[in-house]
Amino acid sequence: MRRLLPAALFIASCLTPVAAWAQQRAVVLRSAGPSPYQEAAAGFREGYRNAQEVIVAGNREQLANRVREIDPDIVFAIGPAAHDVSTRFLSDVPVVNAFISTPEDRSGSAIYIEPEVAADVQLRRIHNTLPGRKRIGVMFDPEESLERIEELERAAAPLGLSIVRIPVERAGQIGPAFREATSKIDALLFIPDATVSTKGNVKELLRRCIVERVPVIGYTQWFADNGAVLSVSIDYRGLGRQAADQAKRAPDAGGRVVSPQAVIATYNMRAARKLNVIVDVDFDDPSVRTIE
Amino acid sequence: MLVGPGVAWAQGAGDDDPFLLGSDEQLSYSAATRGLERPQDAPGFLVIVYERDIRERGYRTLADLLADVPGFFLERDERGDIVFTRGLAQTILVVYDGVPLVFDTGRSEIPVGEEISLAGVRSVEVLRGPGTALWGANAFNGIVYIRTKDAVDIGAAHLLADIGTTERAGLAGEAAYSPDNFSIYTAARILRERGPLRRFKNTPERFVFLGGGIGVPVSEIDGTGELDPSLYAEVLVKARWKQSHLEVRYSDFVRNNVLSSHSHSLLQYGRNERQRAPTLLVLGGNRWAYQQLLTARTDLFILTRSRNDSFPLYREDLNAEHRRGGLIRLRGGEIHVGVSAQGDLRLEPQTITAGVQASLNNSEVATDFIDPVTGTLSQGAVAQKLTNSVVSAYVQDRVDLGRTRITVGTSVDKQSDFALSVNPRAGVVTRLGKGWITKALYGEAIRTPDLFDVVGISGGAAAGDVVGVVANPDLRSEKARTAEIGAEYRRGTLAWGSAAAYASSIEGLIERSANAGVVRADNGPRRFAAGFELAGQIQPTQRVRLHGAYTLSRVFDPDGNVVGGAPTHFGSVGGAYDVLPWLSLYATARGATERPTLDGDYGDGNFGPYLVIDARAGVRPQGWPVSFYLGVENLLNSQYDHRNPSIPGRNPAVPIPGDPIAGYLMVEGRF
Repeated sequence: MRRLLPAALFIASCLTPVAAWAQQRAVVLRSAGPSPYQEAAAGFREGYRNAQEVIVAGNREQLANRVREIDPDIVFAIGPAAHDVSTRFLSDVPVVNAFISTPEDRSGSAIYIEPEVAADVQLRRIHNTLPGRKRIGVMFDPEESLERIEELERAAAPLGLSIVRIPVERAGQIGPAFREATSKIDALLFIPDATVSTKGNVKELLRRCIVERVPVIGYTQWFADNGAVLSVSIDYRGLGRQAADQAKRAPDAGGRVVSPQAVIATYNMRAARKLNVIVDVDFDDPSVRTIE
Repeated sequence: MLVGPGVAWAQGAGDDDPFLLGSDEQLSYSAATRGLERPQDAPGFLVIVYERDIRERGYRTLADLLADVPGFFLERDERGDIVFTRGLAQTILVVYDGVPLVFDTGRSEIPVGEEISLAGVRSVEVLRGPGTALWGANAFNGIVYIRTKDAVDIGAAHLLADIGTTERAGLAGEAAYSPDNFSIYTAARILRERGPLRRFKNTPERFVFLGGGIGVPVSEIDGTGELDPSLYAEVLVKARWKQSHLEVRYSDFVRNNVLSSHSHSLLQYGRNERQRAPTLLVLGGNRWAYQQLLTARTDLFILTRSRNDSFPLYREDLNAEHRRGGLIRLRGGEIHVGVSAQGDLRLEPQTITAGVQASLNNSEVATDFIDPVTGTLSQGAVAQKLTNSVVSAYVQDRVDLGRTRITVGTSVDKQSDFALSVNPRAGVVTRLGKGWITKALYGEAIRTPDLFDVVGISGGAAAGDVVGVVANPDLRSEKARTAEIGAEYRRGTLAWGSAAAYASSIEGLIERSANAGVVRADNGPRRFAAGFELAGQIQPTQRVRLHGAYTLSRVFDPDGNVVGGAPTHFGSVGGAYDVLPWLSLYATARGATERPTLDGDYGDGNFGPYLVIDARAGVRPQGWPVSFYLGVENLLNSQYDHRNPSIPGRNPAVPIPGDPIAGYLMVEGRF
């Protein structure tokens, strides 16, 4: 029995933090909205099984009071409305925010999970599964997305990829810029740029890319559904799990910004065949989805 | 407005949620499960041929396409293509956008020729093995599922024109319009060609074998050896509005075969047998979903076909002036009104599918006869009216246990003319990792007899002396039990390969025999079939694409004697090479070993082995919306039919050279 005591103490010491967060009260503060929000909430509840969910609707101060009555140790705020409630009325509660699209919305007292897949994750997928696609064109408005472009360039170099800048300042320049760039690129990568990535522009560019046999890589599954060969998007359930993990590990590490870890790579095999793009992907990879 | 969830975040709600767009297309609809399924997970050995393959390899008909699929062997006799699947003739079901193409006025006719254009086809999924558990009777030994294009598959318009040295001239066009929530796709095609069987053209030295093995030169029968051109026309319109769809397809053809050996007995032979079969398919339906839990779809379809076949007669027992004066005309019409309803319930890790496919069919056939001596026309010499119902109810459970997926299901099939039949099916698919998959399958299937055989039909019986098909109302459905085992490898678009072995036991295979000028069908003795199939495709570099298929197939009786008309070994290889960004070359070779003739069709004997090589060049000038394909068929053809069967004492072996070299030019425009 004595021999077992140290082992028991060791196990107990390991379990102590687990037990501590297992008793934590958590609230999912969710903006009403699309299914990714619901998926993220479900992912968070995998980490905090007793988390209560509060949908943002009606008077936000009263809603915040409802949250306070629960006396949560951690709040997972999903979407801009939830972020608004947490920053205005719950500033003293540790909050993990997700689905916040602009940096200006970020306060200094919470954890933020970025709304974009990290550049290196995105480019590694391209490098590993689309062999021969070395010159990656990115169309962007320098006023909007220069920072993201520089981030992509830093991530591309170690992988042997090059980012071909296709700057445009307004929508009218997109067509000519694309025509000029087609012979210089092996693929076109979209980023969430307000000037370029409007629905109309993207649909038109997708059409032209198919005609010119340029494979497109998108940042949400919508792209793959609409003809992009690959989209590397956030796994929303995985994002929820990541939020729970963040909350457990460092609930009070306010101001931190983290990239989403779990991604889904959706390959449109129909588009790949049409454009004669080799897709070297293991179908057994759980992060891989295919459109046949 | 940004594309993606950012839209919804900025707007605060997802009224423009891109995740709703096309989300049900992430997995392809598979004939193997009648559900959304990745090909590698499907309980069956699938070969999916996509539009790109069709264009690159120059497939113009389903028969061309099937010739490159393992397990399928195409034999061409005077009337068209005979599809052997795993050694058995005409035992597959062709499904067109979910509607089985089974016609009571010609149930054993498989539409694999020019009557279905591949110009508007998105993909063809070929599933070997029994499929009755999901697709009802006649999915006996394989399913060929044709999936046509939608508006999303083309730009604004697509044109395809081809001309060939076989007096072939064709034009196909597609157009699409798809504003939000609505899309319309139309395709039309017209083709003129001088006969589907060119190798039988202008060959006075060739012998035609009358029943009993008497050989007569073609020129003696038709006088000229010439052949009238065949014409094919087809129009397809598809509309989608939210979750509803409507599809209308009309096709018509006038096909002139070189000559007919319509009944394989002594007297009834003709040239320029003329077939006409206007066909209309109307398909409409709806999809409905409750979250991700329950999906349902209902389809209503109407399928009509009329047919008008003329068989000019050659009567060698008459004097020269009357020898070519007779004619039999077969007139028919049918309408099928059917419904297909299916629900899928997802209860992780299971997906339970249940459905019913039912139709009420009304058919009418009649024959006219022109007496070769008197020239008298007898209308409605034989007339039959048929009304029958077909009901197939099925249930299937797919259990996803992570690396292993188990599928079990069964159908209950009832046709008003035949006994109720239960046809189970089961499969275990195991993912071994790194793209390797093993599959073990078992299934049962039935094929109902051709109604002509059940009720009897004849052009000349009423007139006294021309052969007919005598009724055999005791005919029962054929039954097959098949076990399959094999492995697959799939890695992106880079490579896939499969190796499969199968064994079947077939009961009551219907065999026709001629006696005293009368053809009668009977359920034959038990047969066994076994074989091994290999198929693969690889794209080692951006510029090179290779594919191949090999089949070893045997059908034998309980005593171990080989029967049937398929060769033991056959296969094909093909490869495409992009020489330049605007120029690609493709070559293919198909071959088969010696094969026995079909019992009763030509008498005893063997057809010889052959090797055929075709080549094709594709030119796509950069920046042009137009592509050109120049093809040469039979670049090498080692005597396609090496010899006609030799019957000692009656016929010598007659060498029949293969088709001569033929060329064609195809122009494709995408706008």
